[in-house]
Amino acid sequence: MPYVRILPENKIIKVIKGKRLLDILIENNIKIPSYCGGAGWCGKCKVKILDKGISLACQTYVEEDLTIKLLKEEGTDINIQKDFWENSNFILSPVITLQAFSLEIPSLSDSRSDLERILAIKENIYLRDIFVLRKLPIFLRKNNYKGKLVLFENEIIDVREEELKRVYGIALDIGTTTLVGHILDLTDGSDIDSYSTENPQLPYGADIISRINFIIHNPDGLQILRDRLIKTLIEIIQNLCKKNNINLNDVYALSITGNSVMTHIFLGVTPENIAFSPFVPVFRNMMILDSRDIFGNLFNAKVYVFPLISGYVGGDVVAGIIATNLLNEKGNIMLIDIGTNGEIVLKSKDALFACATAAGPAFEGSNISHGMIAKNGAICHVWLEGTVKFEVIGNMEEKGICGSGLLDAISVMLDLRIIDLTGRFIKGEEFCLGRVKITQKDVREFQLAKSAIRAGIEVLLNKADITYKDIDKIYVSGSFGSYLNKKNAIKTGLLPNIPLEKIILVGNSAIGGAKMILLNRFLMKDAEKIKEEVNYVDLSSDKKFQEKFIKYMYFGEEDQCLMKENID
Amino acid sequence: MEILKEVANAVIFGDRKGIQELVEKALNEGISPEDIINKGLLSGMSVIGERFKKNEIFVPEVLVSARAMQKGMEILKPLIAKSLGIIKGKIVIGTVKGDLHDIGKNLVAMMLEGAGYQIIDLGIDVPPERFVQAIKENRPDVVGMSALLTTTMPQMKVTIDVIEKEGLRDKVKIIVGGAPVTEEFAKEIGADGYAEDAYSAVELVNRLLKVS
Ligand code: B1M
Repeated sequence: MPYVRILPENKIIKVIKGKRLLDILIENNIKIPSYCGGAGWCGKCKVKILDKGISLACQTYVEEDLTIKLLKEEGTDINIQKDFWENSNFILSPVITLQAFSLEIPSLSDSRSDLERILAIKENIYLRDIFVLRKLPIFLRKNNYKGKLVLFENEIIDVREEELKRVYGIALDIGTTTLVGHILDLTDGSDIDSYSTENPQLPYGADIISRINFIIHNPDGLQILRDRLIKTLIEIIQNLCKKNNINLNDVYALSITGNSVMTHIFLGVTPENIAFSPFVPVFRNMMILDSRDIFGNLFNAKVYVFPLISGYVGGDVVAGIIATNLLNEKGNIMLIDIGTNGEIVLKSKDALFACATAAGPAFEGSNISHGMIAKNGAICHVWLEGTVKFEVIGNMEEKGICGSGLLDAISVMLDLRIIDLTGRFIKGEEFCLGRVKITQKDVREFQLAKSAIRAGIEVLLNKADITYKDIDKIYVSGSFGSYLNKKNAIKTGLLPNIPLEKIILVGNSAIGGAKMILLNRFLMKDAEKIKEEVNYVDLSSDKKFQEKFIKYMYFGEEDQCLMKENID
Repeated sequence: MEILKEVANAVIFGDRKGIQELVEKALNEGISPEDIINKGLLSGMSVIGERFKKNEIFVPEVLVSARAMQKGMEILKPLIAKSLGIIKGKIVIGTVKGDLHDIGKNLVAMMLEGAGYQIIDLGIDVPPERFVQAIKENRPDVVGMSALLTTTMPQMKVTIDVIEKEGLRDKVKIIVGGAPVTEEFAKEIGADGYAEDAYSAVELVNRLLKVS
């Protein structure tokens, strides 16, 4: 069996002859980006093979001893702007409540059972959890029949000592690219801390289709993806508790939001039918589960899973709609979530429409020569100030460029007439920002991505029978959304030309909604309502989409669009 | 001839309105419809194809040019209906089952049409049986399949297998393409060729059918 030596760690692994290098690296927990899931076309899993040169790990099969060098170090610290909901005021009525009790001590004249005594504390409460029942006799006698009930709605999920003051909830957003967790104090509603890390499924492909493909072609595929996800979620949960000196036993509620495919995988339900027309999910309902069924005996909490709207518009969008209060706001309001997929929601005259545009992960760095997600080392802003200036996340040497940086760079290239309004290079063949280059092909990828989103916006406006001039507000969310330069979004045609103050960047709206639902249990009803009321618009069967997709590939505002009459 | 250059230019600039006038002018000058097609429309389209391949122009320009070319064809086709010599070959094309991506396949179809091939476009979400039926009905020289999803790529192999089972495999050349498709994949599934973009598809078909 040949050996693979991995530099710079100098790790040595014995491998089965003929095994694929990418699989070896993944199995040994060596971080390697691979956006296409090993199909061989994203070119991200480059490694240097000593004496042989650069090669793609997914196309390399180990036949003999090899020494390889990893080319890029990837950190896991991702900075997403502080959310804006903290300021918005809404009623605090958390999903978990504490009910203090002091029971009559049993006597011969009052020999009711322990449980009956407990159930008499408050009307309508009930107990289902056998673990709590087992705990009850010892707890009551040890604590002199005093303590606190931990309630999820009317269900008793634990009995605790009298001294317990604070209980906690954790909101989790399972993004295709990034996982985010927030820990909240459910007694006063404060947002204590957050933590985010890469989705550990990333080596199996950047987009949901690549992940589904992996599941289809590997008998254990679903299990592998799920195990990785759960393991990392546990790390996030433990990390949040440890960092803040919180006992895991005091965490009683989790809320989980994610797109439909991620939600399926989280529950261990196959998402494969979502990939093919007619895109049928296994379920759409919200779920309330016991954490033990998912995370093992680590802790004992209720897990709320957001409902889904369709195969391509998931619980992350439902959470986003909650976070931006679309149900109750008046006027024509849009929510655009630009992540690996671009989901768009329009609220107009009490009707809600939503669609998913296959913008692709260009805004998260995939398919762009030097593309990367918004984390340390990524160029996140580019502007003109005499010369071309740029800013790098983490204030370090530039390693690549993320979506917001790309958007800015393209705008600067338009200003400098390096590219023309059709996207063609008219000066030189590439645009350099330090070591980072933007090529003609990158510009074309950007055009496809931005036009897919813009075309989606226009299709929804059409459905509601309004134009961009009628829009009162556009919320832009997603990690790309929090760094986005509004002017440049309009200049490149990604967003319609509306006054800048009507465009509001809201950071991660999915996690916002997931947090809010922990703090206000009535929002669960809103989530149901959203699931029922949103009209899903399928773009693959929409004739107008294609027309508009072509029309908005160029830069500039609609009126400037070259050859407009010829395209229509 | 100056006027043929003008026709080609009208295609290149996507001048759908101007092309009608120019084609009529060329006809009045006594140029044969075949020459107007080959040295005017198709030569313009070939310039467009090359520029697209080099990434100099993008999807909208190609579509606009293709529409101008088609406008010219509309006028000229009835005039040459009898002289079949002009058609270089017949091509059946479609996006495979489960896949609804249309645009790339359309570009390939237009470019092939612009190179003088007759196109039978089966559209999107085309099951293997429809390909088979189209082969039986049209007896094409080439069958082209497009797929944009990694999940639908395997449908190409399924389709080839069905064509084989029907005993039609040696009657047609099969080519494949689409963003996730690669040369290796094409070989693996037993296709006769792979093209990265629309213009390469023309070069590929020319090569396979030994047309210049
Ligand atoms: C026969 O011989 C040949 C030879 C060459 C051939 C050939 C055949 N066919 C093509 N070629 C070659 O020549 C052409 C011209 O040079 C080229 O064709 P292309 O098609 O590559 O290029 C076109 C000219 C332009 N490119 C395109 O038109 C595709 C652009 C993107 C944005 C895209 C679009 C527009 C759409 N989509 Co879709 N879509 C994406 C794309 C992402 C991207 N940035 O590329 C992609 C392909 N989509 C994807 C997805 C996931 C989906 N899409 C879907 C739907 C759609 C829309 C309906 C919204 C729309 C299609 C509209 C239409 N009528 O065609 C869904 C599935 C529908 C289905 N079952 O097909 C959905 C599943 C999800 C969703 N959220 O809607 C992704 C696939 C991921 C993967 N791993 O496979 C995707 C890469 C975006 C992403 N990463 O999320 C070459 O490939």
